Amino acid sequence: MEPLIRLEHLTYTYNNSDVPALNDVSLTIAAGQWIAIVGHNGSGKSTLAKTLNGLIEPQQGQVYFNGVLLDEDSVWSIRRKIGVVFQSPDNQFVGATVADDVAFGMENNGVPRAEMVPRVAAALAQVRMSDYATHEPARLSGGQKQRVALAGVLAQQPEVIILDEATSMLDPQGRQDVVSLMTQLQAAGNFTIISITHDIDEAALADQVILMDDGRLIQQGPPAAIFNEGELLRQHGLTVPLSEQVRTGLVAQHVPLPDQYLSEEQLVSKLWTLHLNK
Amino acid sequence: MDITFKQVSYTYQANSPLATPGLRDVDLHFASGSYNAIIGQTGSGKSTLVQHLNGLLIPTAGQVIVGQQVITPLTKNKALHDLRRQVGLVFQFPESQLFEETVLKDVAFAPKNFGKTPAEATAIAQQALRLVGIGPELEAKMPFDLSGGQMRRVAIAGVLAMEPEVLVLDEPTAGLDPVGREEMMQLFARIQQERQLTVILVTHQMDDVVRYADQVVVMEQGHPLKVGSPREIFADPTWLAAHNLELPSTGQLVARLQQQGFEFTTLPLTVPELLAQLTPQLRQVPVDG
Repeated sequence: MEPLIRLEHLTYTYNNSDVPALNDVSLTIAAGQWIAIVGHNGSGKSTLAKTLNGLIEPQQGQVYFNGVLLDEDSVWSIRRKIGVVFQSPDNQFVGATVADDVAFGMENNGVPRAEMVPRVAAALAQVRMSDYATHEPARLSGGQKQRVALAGVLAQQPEVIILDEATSMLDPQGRQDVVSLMTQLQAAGNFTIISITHDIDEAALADQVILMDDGRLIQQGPPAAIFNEGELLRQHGLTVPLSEQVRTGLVAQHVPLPDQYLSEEQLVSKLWTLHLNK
Repeated sequence: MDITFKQVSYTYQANSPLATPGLRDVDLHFASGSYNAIIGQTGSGKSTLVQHLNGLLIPTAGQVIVGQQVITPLTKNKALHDLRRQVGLVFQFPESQLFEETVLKDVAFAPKNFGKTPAEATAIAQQALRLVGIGPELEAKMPFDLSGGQMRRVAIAGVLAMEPEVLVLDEPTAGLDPVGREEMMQLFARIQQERQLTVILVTHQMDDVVRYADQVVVMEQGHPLKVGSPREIFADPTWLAAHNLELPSTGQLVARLQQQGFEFTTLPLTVPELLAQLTPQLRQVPVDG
């Protein structure tokens, strides 16, 4: 079956740079998956995301969306299927009220008003912000702002939602809000979620993790396979999940644990079976 | 430099119908040379508190005493000149405050502004740049041609070039990746040691609090709810949850292990502490030889 997104040998170098931000990247993303793209600042992960909706046109290589080559003719219809929530909640508001803001993208795409009104209401309900429809966006908390930005994306009924470090500026409560909302939306809907993040705990929720460094794809696989290689993560500027630090620490003390990554939950239940005083 | 808050209150838009309390009845002491962390939810008054440290805000009631200087509701702006040199502030995204045409000029701006000769200012700036790990080869570059991490270091060098005795860090690592965050925090720890600075860090990163702070202040609704060492503050997970505060990452794992019958005499705050208490409770395979 044709994957939703297929990238073939993408290479891109920014104008003011002599090192490529993307270097011969090929990968596929299946529909309905939650993908986490991880890597340190400057690893190429945001550049990669920008090629998906044609914001950046690679000098070499092709992007296919549902089997259709992304080019000058197809870019507009493909872009409509991909919604993006950016890092800073304050730089993406245009409307005077929350509802206006959510409607903005649809207005741009020429959605008739009669259809727009229920779509705004539905999107605000999905992100649990209906009570704030008439509020000024500027006066919301960080987490609320990101939920409104997400509503604006949902109202356009995209197939793919890209979160470009969308939680990195939020406090723990706001981050938790957005992450649990994304989990629910993905479980309920037919979205493909591409989350660009350096929060390793957030990446642990994904179906697939894509590890980038120096513009190259280092590895793609389920979180367990990627996190198993603590040294690999460290080498590429990421932290090792706590459960993996504890697992390797205990293995060094000859505690008989499996030789692979365990989530916190799996680790705790394994440890329970090894408990001396139960 | 010692810092004391005596019965400090601050009201935003005081004497107007929109008056809202920012701080109420704050009594605090930050000892000279100590590393302090301020934690609390968004809107709890953390930033309002630290803006009193260099007179960006003047208390509506009470006194803030920084070294020899006493700031009261009657203190005039021009009396704060020395204070602003002694207390350096690093905000979120400090790189957005860069403005000069070269790295060296940007960092030399503050000392020049505070009355140093151009030669002195340049020497101080170069010293500050070396301290944050920026080499001479970058001095003539435009700040905006640097990478994000380098820009942030230059901005911090600009604060250090004022040779402050107090360093206020308001979520200085926001938006950095894990390695960048770690490097930045170690940089601050090293500077604090080398220059014997008093550090006040506003943060949501509980692991940084455990790792670096001598004293922790928990703010809630403009008031210090609890003051103590990291161990004292994180000793009671039920209390923390009741006030919507996170545990350090080890704390969350410990809570899960406790539910499964594992016992901990004190709350382990780091991975080695956790391993030390956990290993004896587990079956180990005999080692050959």
